[in-house]
Amino acid sequence: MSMRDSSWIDHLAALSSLSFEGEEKERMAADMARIMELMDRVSQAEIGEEEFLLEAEGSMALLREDIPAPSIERERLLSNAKGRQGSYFAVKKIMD
Amino acid sequence: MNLHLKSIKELRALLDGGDITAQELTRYYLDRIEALDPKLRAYITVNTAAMEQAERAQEKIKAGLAKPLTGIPLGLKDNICTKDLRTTCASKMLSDFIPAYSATVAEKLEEAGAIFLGKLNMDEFAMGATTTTSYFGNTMNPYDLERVPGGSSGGSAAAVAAGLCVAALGSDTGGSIRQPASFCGVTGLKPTYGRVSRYGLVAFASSLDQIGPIGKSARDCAILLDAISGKDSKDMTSKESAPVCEQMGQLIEGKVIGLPKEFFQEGMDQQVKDAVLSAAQRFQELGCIIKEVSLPSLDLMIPAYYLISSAEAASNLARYDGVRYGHRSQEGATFEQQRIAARNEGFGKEVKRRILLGNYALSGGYFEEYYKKACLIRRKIQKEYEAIFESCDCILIPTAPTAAYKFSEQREDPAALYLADIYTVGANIAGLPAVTTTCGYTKEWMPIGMSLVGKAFADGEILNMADAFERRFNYILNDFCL
Repeated sequence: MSMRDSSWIDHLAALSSLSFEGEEKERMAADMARIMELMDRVSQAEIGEEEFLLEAEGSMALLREDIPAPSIERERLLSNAKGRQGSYFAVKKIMD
Repeated sequence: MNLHLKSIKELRALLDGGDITAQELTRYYLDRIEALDPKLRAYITVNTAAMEQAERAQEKIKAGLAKPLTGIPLGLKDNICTKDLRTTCASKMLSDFIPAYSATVAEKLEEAGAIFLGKLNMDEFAMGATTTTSYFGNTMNPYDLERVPGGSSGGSAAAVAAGLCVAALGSDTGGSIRQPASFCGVTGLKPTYGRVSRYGLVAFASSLDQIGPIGKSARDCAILLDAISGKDSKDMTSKESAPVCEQMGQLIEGKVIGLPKEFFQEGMDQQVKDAVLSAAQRFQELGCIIKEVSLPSLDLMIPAYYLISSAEAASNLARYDGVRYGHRSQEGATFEQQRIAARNEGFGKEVKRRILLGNYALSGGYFEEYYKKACLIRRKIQKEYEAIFESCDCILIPTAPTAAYKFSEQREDPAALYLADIYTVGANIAGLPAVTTTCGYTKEWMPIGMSLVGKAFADGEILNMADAFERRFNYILNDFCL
């Protein structure tokens, strides 16, 4: 993946559940190449890893206790869905 | 009576004294929106229930139960969920989304009796610095309609500046409150990370996002901040904090202000540099001590910020598949094809760039080189701020390298646009509070903003310093014709 060209964009698009074709793909490849030149400052930076590693990894996400509580009513949550069948979200077939 | 020029405190006195009613004040603002917003395009959605809210607020006022914001008409950035009121995030993906619940900040404001005039334009999913990535079109800068209002909270800043709401809420992930407030000549605060609950804020980068106020002055921002702050069981990163309003008016004599030398080097517009250095002198006139300090990792701030924020965005935006809510494509024979088509059609160009960047930074073989290293740099930058605050009370910097520029001058290169965030992202990376206020004007009469960055949870201290500056030097213009 060293070449930042249109095949690189195909790989990133697959990771991102997106797709690009034709001119849009070419433009995106050019934009992303310019963005990565800036991001490469990070990969090239010399930083004393040991000094910061423990502190960076030491922060844990705080979670509240898992206690059941009343939720938003089902009908309201279904109201933004573009496809539904009864109280289910309807989607196209997942398997043949 | 030019009600749109009045502060929250002045309006409070008029409402409590019976000089105006909440309905009259709300109607005044709705009429201004109807007359002026077609030129400005600050609002995506005007709240049709605003007058009902005003009636309820008036009942509270009559009963003597008014709080500081009861009957005050506000605007909300359109990434803050409001129950039964469309919340689009300025994206085609959510263009018809009606939330089933309200964000904690919206609930708090409603409980305080505030009135919601509507939802304000922004860059799509808060990704941008011009409000030009909105699916609903650009917002204009009220100082010059040919110029950008900044972003991503461009609608919020423009609406406050033009008197289309008393004050507004924005959100700030890398400068999205401060830069537009600076471009539109108003005051904006990015609170300390954790001071304000993020529950119901459409997530962009969860470790950096923070909701905050935009107002005509630091005092208006302080009132709004106190109304929305506090620990929330629905956001475990939120914390209790001391009220800030009671700190307004305290003497700032003897405060030590750091000027980081790296921030005043190349790339900055000379007029901006002169205005901010002149502001430093004015703080000295107020009895403050100016001291040169250093943030050696400034060059790494932008790439580290974009890697971390994009990685979090890629994860947060993976939920948009058109199944439970959001845009659903008519294309694709299978679920997977339809899901990809929904994302292709629903997201704009800038959002797609950030998702690609974020997934690259998190992908196998590149995680250590980019994302992990960016996290280490984040910690290094936090330590550099901590070192400065051992001898300083706050830091003074420009808010943006330039004042608002013309739409026609907008740069096409995304990397060049990212670099313009250089003065704002540090406060997000370090989780610190930062306030911007106007410190001068360009020769074309566009506002120039300066920022004060404070210690964690010293939001009140920097608001008080901004307030002292505003009251002494009165740089904020209060009226202009659209």
